[in-house]
Amino acid sequence: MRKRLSLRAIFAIPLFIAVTSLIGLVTALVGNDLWDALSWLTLGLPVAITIWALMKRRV
Amino acid sequence: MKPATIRLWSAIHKWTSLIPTLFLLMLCITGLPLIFHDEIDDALNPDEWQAANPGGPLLDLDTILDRALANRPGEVPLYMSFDIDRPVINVTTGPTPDAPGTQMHFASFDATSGDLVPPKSGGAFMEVILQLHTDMFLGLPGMLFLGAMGALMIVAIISGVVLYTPFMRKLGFGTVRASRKPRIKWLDYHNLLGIVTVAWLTVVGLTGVINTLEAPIIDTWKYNELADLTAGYEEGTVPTPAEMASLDAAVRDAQDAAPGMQLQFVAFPGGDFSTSQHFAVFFHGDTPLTEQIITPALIDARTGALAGIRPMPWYAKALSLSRPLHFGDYGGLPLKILWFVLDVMTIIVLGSGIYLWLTRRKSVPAEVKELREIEGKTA
Repeated sequence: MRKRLSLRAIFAIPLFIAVTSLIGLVTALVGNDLWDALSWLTLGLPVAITIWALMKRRV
Repeated sequence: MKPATIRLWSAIHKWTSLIPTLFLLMLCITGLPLIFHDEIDDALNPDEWQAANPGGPLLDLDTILDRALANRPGEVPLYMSFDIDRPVINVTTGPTPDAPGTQMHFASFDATSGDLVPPKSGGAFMEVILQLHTDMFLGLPGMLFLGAMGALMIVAIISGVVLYTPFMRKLGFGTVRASRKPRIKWLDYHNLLGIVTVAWLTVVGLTGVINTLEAPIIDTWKYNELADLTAGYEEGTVPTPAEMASLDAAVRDAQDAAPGMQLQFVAFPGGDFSTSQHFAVFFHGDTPLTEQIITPALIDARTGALAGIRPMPWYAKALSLSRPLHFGDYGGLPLKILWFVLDVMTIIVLGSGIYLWLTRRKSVPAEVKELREIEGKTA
């Protein structure tokens, strides 16, 4: 029987994505250029992780 | 999580999703072209206009105002606004200071020569999309209704995160059981796309709700915060253009009182955005964070004396910051593209949610139990 995952295990990655996304939403407001680029990286994370899951996590 | 707890949260998730779902789908779909509003407008209506004296000195505001009034004899000035990316000043005039929108006349002038600038044509299609997205052509009630749908969505997001727990007890993050029956496959898509977009959708949803409160927020600001600036001026007649002091001098005085601020908009006496006896001059900041923050100054339109300058109260600032955070237009084209992709992901979450509801057969706790048993056997 597969082990029950802890709350921490279930939410570690989602929480990381959420915090990173929020940082990205704010950085683009703070400034231009580098700040904008930071927002592209951080808000690109949920998209990148989805593509990764759809390709590598199919069972 | 106890079956009773799961049942409660799944009831919350079901109803807070089902009630707004068609409206949310409409918002997501009309939102897709709106993200690229500027690009689409520019492509449909390329702006080939050039200033008469590019880089030359700009005429003062009084000269532009005189040109605008000469162009519309017998009318009074209502608003003056300033294009950001070209030396163009727009003047709105009307037959009376309180003329309704249908009687207003909008004209643009070259700030280097005072010549009329031909109006940008078209944009009608995007206007329809924007209206649909803002209030479904129903005015304030439509706007507030969409705000309520957005508030339900926030509850749906929270309950969705709670329900994510029992479904993911035995599945690693991001597992997509694509080889299983469609219902399980789509449950996995729903959970994956839903959980990765949580933060973004919460911010876009909350800021959208705040945007729907625009009218009450602006009214509160006008009646509470600006009231003391305008006290004693409620009565009295609106000055005619001939009685008005120099607008250019008034704006310069206000600019001295608000260093580091950019001129955005002037409202003339007697209209919705001013008193019967003041020029209201609106400034915005010059950094990405402060350019949304408006600071109004009131100037006695007869004497030209600065009556006062007031920073926005916190709730009006919240409204201002809600606009870029909702539209996604504040971080260049890559941010807009990400906004588009995240919007499409939200559409898939909504669509798969409807599918999961249509194909439901048993209670959510029973389904959780069955899925866990399957995972237990196959793992």
